[in-house]
Amino acid sequence: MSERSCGQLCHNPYLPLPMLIMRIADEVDDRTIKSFDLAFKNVNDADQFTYTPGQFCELSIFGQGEAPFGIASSPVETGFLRFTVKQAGVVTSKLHSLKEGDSIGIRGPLGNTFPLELMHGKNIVVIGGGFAFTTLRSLIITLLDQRADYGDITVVYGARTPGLLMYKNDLNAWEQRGDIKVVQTIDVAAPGWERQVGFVPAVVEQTAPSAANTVGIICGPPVMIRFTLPVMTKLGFGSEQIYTSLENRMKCGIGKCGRCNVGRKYVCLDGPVFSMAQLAELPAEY
Amino acid sequence: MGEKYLLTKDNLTAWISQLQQHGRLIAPVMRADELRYDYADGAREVVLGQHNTRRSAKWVFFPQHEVLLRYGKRLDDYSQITDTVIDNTPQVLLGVTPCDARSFVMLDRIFGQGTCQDPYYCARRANTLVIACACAHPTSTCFCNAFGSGPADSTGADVLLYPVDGDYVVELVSDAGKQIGLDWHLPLANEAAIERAEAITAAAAERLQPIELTAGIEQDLAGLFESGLWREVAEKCIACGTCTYNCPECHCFNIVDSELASGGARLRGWDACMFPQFTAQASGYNPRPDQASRWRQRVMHKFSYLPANVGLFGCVGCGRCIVSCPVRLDIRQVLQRVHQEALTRAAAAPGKEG
Repeated sequence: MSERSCGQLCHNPYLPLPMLIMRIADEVDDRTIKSFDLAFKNVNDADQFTYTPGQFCELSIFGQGEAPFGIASSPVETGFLRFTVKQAGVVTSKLHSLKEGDSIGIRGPLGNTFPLELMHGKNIVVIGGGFAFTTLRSLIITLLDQRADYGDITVVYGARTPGLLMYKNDLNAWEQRGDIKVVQTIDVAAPGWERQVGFVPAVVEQTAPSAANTVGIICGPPVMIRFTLPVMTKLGFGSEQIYTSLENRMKCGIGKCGRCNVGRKYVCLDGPVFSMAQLAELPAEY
Repeated sequence: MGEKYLLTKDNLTAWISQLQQHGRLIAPVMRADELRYDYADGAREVVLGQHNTRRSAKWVFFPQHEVLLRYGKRLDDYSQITDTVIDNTPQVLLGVTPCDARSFVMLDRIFGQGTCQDPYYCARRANTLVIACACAHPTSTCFCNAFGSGPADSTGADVLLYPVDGDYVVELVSDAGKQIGLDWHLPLANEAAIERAEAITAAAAERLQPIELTAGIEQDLAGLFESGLWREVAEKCIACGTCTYNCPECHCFNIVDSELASGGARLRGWDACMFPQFTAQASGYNPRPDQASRWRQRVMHKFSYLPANVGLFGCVGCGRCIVSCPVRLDIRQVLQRVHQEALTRAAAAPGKEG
């Protein structure tokens, strides 16, 4: 058969690559979200797998099926791929029952990336809510690795309670640095919490990052995005300056199975990252 | 038009045997009182030149369900592939209607192009010779003419047969068709046979109702995403999905794992945009929450998104969805309704002429 042209997948795009689960860590205090650090079982696969923040993979557990997840590790963190998964359906429930040392499969990397070229030389505002911080973690670590290439970096991350904020070690480490502004917020005051309290839209308004020469990346629950966008508009952000990542239901991940389209665009191929200007051209089917 | 040869009724059986030497034969056959494309034992089973089958021929390249891979079972390893199943068997698909042959061209653009090729589809397609038979029996639900096609369209076929009173005029269309045609040693068709063949397909074309459906349809649809017409259209729909299953161009699929004691198989099977679960997310949220939004997707996909993305409509006018719909929904009427709605809107739009 003729050769396909996509870089990362093996010759048959439906075959998952075998991965070893190196490490499993709880991310939140109710234990519904865990991070899985995976290592390639075949050296060849590891050599060929290169990715950029914003991309995702299909995690495969034979017997249960596949489900898509953003890559939470950064390409600058070598030796593992991290996926942070909330227990919700069949595949994720099985995944949560696995142990370190077990093996699963991945297909990918799939989809487009955050607009790193566009972001070069600009100020960056990253806004996240709840569980939707996985590819944002990948992005922030990548930005910090090449810190001199970017202007001011501001991160606003909110969750309902302190225990539901993910990646605490990373957040606290970033707070210690002088070259990134990190605002962690929770919905209502909690004992022992000394950082910000309030919903993400209000905290963004308070933080008031400048829109001048800035790119904003926003990922979170739809309701958070809906109320944060007007705030960003008020701060002067144009729709072409704001990017988000969509999560429609997927199967193949390569633009064939016809499931994840928003209008004529496929989230798996043309996305998952879209600018608000791009989304304005599409029907609200996400 | 390539050179044309004559296959007489006396030579038909021997010719079909020759095809069987070339590959596994798939042709219209009677199975349980239904004319359908199926594996055929030989010439005596083949039913050529009849009306369209109820189901399309897409399964030949894209089966209703198929094994993508098999996996082993170990309690600590959910990644072991034991087998992948690419089917390279040479095949001859004999006697498809021109609309079915034409449908493969659009499917090729989905499965054979883009970022990744689909190795399962491509292997079958590359190893299958498509011999279409010109359509002498269009029915009241046929509307291939709405796409500029007709009963003797050779698009997508390697070889096209014209039925002529029991004999066939044979046109070798593609390079693969011309190559294998050399082995058949058929005599050139005489003028009389060619004229008769053309007269028969011309008469068939005459029997198609004149129909304008696709002119400007993409522009018409562009403004109708939020229209109330989808609710009207979908009102009768019972979401059975039959239209999509019988459609030669519908290609949406699901991937599921099937467990056996010793291991299992990852299967691919047809899925349909008409089903609520198609887009339902694990959280319970569904971006297409009602049948109206699913009907809109079906029409938009076929007549707006596919033309924009791959340059072809996702419809060939075979009429199977019309024939098989249990509540008599008719895609032709829906497209006409779309056009009227667009005209009405254009007329009502302020500052626009007419």
